[in-house]
Amino acid sequence: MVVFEDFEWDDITPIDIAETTAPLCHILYTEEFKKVMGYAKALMAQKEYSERAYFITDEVINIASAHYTIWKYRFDIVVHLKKNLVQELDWCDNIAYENEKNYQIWPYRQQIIELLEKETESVDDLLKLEYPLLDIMIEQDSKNYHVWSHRRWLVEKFKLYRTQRELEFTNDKINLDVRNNSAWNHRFLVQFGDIESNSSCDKEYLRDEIILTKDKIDLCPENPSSWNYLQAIYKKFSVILLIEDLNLFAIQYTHLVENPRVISIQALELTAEIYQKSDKNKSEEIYELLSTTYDPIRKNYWSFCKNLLYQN
Amino acid sequence: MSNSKKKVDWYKTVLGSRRIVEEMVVKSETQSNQIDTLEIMLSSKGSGSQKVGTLTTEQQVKVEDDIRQIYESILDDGQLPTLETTQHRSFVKYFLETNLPAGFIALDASHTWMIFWLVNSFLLLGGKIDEDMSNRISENILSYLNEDGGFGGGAGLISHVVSSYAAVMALCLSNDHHVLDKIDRQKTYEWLLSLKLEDGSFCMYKGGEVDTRAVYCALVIASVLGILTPELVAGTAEWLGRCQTFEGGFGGVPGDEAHGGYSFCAVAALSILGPPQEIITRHCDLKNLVKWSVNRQFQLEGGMNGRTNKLVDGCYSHWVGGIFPFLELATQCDLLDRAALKNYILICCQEENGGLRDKPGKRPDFYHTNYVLCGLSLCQHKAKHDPALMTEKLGASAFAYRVERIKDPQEDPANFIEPLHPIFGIPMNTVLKNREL
Ligand SMILES: [Zn+2]
Repeated sequence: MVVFEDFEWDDITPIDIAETTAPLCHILYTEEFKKVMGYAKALMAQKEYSERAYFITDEVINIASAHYTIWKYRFDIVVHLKKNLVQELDWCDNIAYENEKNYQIWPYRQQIIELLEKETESVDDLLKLEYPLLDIMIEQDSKNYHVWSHRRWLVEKFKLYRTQRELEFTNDKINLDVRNNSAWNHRFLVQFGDIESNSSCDKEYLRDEIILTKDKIDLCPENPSSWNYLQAIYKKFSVILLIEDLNLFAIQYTHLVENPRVISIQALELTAEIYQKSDKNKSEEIYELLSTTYDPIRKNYWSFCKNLLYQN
Repeated sequence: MSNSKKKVDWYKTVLGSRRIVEEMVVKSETQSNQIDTLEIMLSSKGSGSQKVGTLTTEQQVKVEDDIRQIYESILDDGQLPTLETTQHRSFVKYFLETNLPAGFIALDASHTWMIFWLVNSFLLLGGKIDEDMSNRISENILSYLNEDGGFGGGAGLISHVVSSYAAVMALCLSNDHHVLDKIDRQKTYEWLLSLKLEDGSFCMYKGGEVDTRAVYCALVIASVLGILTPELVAGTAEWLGRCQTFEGGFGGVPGDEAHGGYSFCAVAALSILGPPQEIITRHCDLKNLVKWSVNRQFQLEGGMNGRTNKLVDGCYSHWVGGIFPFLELATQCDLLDRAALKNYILICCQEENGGLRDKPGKRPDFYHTNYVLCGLSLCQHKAKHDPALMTEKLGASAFAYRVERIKDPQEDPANFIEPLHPIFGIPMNTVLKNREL
C-alpha cells in the first residue's frame, strides 16, 4: 500500500483551510484532514499532475467523498498521467461501496468509461466492468437512485434496449420485490426508451409485455408500480392499443364485480377513466366512492377528476 | 361523535370541575379539524393486509405500526402538539454558531448549504437577523465567491451551481440589501452560460452531474440576479419537459425514475419561465403530474414520500408539497390534504429538544429542519399569481406571487410560520426586500 511518506513533500507549503474571522458552521477538522486537504490545495493551485497528487486525491476522497473539487482534479491527473483506466474504475468501485449516496462518483465513472471506450474494441468487455458493481450495489439497496441512473446511462450509451441481460435483470428485481418501482421504471426504459410515442410497435411483442404486467398486477392488485406501467404502455402506443380494452381486467378488482378478491384504488381510478367517454355517471360514482370510502386522503383530487369529466 | 368530544364528556363526569372542562373544550375546539383529520388518517387499513409481502411492504408496515401507535396515543390524550418554535430556534442558532464536530467533515463541501438551511429555518420561525449575524452571513458566503463569478461549497472550492444557489439565497436572507451588488453579474452570467449544455440542461461544474437540480439552481440564480436571458434558457423548458416520466413526476434527467426532489426542481424551474397555468401545460402532462403528486401523500401517515413505493419522509413535505402551489394555480383546484400533512409534521417530525426530522426514530438535521418547516409553511398558506405584477420581461413571472395565510380560526397561532416564496424557497419578505432595489 502506498502511504504519505512514500512521497517527497518538502517543496510544498500546504494551504490552510481558510477561515473567516467569525465563521458560521465552523467544522473542527481533524489534523489528518487538515494535512491532506492542505497539500491537495497546494498541489491543485500549482496545477501539478503527478503521482503524489494522484495519491493525495485518494486520501481526501476517502475522508470526504463529496469534495467535488478533488474529483475534478483527480480526473485531470488521470488524463495527464495516462493512468490505467480499468484500475481507475476499480478504485471507483471501492469508493462507491463506501458512499452509497454520493453524487460525484457516477459522472466521474462515466467520464472514465468514455475514455476507455476509445481504447477498447468490445462494448461487452466494458460492460463486464460495470455489472458486478451495479449488481452488488442494487443488492445492498434495491432502490438506490444513483445506481439505477447509472444503469440507465449505460442503456442509452450502448443501446442496450431490449437486450436479454437488461430484461432479465429487471425481471429478477421485480420478482424479488414486485413493488420495486425503480425496477419498473428501468424496464420501461429498456423496453420502450428508444421508441417514439404514438408510433407503432410489434403488437405481439406488446401483448407479451402486457400479459407479464397483468400477472404482476394480479399478484398484488394494490401495487401502483405495475398499474402505472400497464397504463403507460397503453398511453405510449395509443395508436394501436385501446385503453378501453383494459375494462374487463380492471373491474375484477373493483366493487363492480361480485365478490372481488380485493378492491384496488388503482383499478377503480382506471375504470373511472375508461367509463368517462361512455358513462359519465358511472365514473362520477366511482370518484365519489374513492373520495368517501377507499381513498379519503385524496378527496380533493377525486373532486378534481369529477370536474374534469364535464370539461373538454 | 369525535374521540376528542368523547374525551371532553368523560372529563366532565370524572372531574366535575367547570374550569378545567372549559379549558379542555376551548383547546379541543381550536384543534377539532386536526383531530377529525387524525381520525380519518387512522381509519386507513394500512399495508399489512396486502397478501403478498415483499421488502417494500415489510419496511412500510414497520413505519405504519410506529406512526399508528403515536397517533393513537395523541387521540387518546385529545391534545395535539404545537410547533416548538423556541426549541427549534435555539437548535438552529446553536448550530450556526457552535463549532461542529469532525463528523461534519462529510459536509465540508456544503458550507453554503448549511448556512442557508439554518438561516432560512431561523427566519421561517420568525427569527430576526441582527447586524452582527447579517455581517457574518455575508462575510462567510462572500468568502466562497470565486473569480469566475460562481460560488464554491466552501473555502477554496471551485464554483458549483447548487452551492451557488444556496449562497445567493443565503445572501438574500442576510438582511443586507446591497450585498448582492458584491457579485459581478456579468461574470456570473458567463459562468452559468459556460455550464449550459447543448440540450438545454446545465451541469454543476465542468465534468459534474447534470440534472433538474442544476437547472433549477441556475435559473434561480439568474432570476434573482436579473441576468436571465433567452440565450441562457434556450431549450431548457423543453429539456425539463423530457424529464417527466410515464408516472407523471420528473426524474433527474430524461429516463430516470420520477422523484420528489427532481420534480420540485423541474416544476419550479419551469415556473420561472412563465406563469404555471401556462408553462406547465405547455411542457408537460398536467393531469399525470397531478396524479403522481397527490399519490405521494399517505392516508395513514399524512406525510409524503418521494417516489412510488418508498417510505414517508418529512423533507418531501417541501419537495413534493412544494409542487402543489403550482398545481393548484394551474388547475384552480385544491389538491393537497393540508390538515393531514400538518399532523404528520407536528406530531412525527419534531424532536423534543429542537430540530425537525425525516420520521420518528430518525435524528434531526439541518436539511430536514429547513424542508419540514417549508412544508409547514405550505400547509398554512396559499399562493396566488397576480398578473398585475407581471411584466413582459423574461422571468418576471417568478416575482408575481402573493402568498396569503389560509384563514383558519382553528389554527393555533403558536404554529404560525412565515409565508414561503413558492419558487425560491425563502420567506416572501426576503424576496421582496431584495427585489425593491
Ligand atoms: Zn428526507
